[in-house]
Amino acid sequence: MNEQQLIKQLNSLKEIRPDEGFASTLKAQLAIEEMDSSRFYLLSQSLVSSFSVGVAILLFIFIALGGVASTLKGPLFPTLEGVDKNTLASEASDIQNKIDKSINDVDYLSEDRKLARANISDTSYESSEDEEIDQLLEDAISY
Amino acid sequence: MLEGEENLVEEAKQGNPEAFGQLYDHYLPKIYRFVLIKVAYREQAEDITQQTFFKAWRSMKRYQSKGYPFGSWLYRIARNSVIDHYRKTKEEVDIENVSEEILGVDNTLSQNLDSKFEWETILKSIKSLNDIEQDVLIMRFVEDMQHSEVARVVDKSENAVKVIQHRAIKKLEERLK
Repeated sequence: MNEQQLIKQLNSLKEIRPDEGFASTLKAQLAIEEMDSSRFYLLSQSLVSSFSVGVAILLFIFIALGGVASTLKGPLFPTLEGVDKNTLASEASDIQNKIDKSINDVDYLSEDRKLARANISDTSYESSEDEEIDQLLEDAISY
Repeated sequence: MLEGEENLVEEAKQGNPEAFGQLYDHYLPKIYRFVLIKVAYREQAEDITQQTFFKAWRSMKRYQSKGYPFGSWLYRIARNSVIDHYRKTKEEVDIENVSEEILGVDNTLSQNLDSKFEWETILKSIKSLNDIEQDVLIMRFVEDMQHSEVARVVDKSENAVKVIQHRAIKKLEERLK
């Protein structure tokens, strides 16, 4: 079979047609579907736009009232620890004090260590003098 | 392309069922034929065709023409529906067992075909091609669509479609020797 014959054969498949009963049933179903989907579409569009406007208004009010800090400080809301500005400042101050105390401890320990070293070196010097005296005494006795 | 199609599409987008009905009348045989040649069973073809038109109708408001006939969009939906169908069922069609009655083909079809190459043989040969080759052959030679339109449906360039068409024809010639 050459290309022309093949194309002719393919073209003859145009004869395939849907069943008339199927075609009319589907058309009727689509007509019903149209009414439902249109209503649903309009309803969903209306809900979506109402929701968007509502969210925008709430956001505007929230910002106008001063955001999270001032909203949570109000009389209607309990102040949450760690969120309030003053609490955060006092927590930071506590941490700073702890750090300062640790630095002082380190300084003290390092001074203490220097003193201990000096004492050790003095002791070793004295012991060498004693040994020298002992040696001289022993030499004197031997004479 | 259907006469006054752009106006009908615009009216259908506004929710006019009569306008969509006219588009349906024009495109139903084409979409049904496209699907039937690919799946080979009338009942499956009817189910997929039904899904195609329901999807189209539900998404009508979002449809954008972009200069192509409305049919291109319908073929795309039908093509995806056939792919989904095979993904779900994973069944192989034995075309040898498919009769004219099952396909719903008019009896005159077999009289028009050459005695050596009856419609079963043609359908069987088309089924042996890969998906995109089937799509291109059906749209080009059964539905007489332009290369540009076929390219839009299968998401390829016009040149790619020409190459696929050439390859598919050669394969069919080989198989029908």
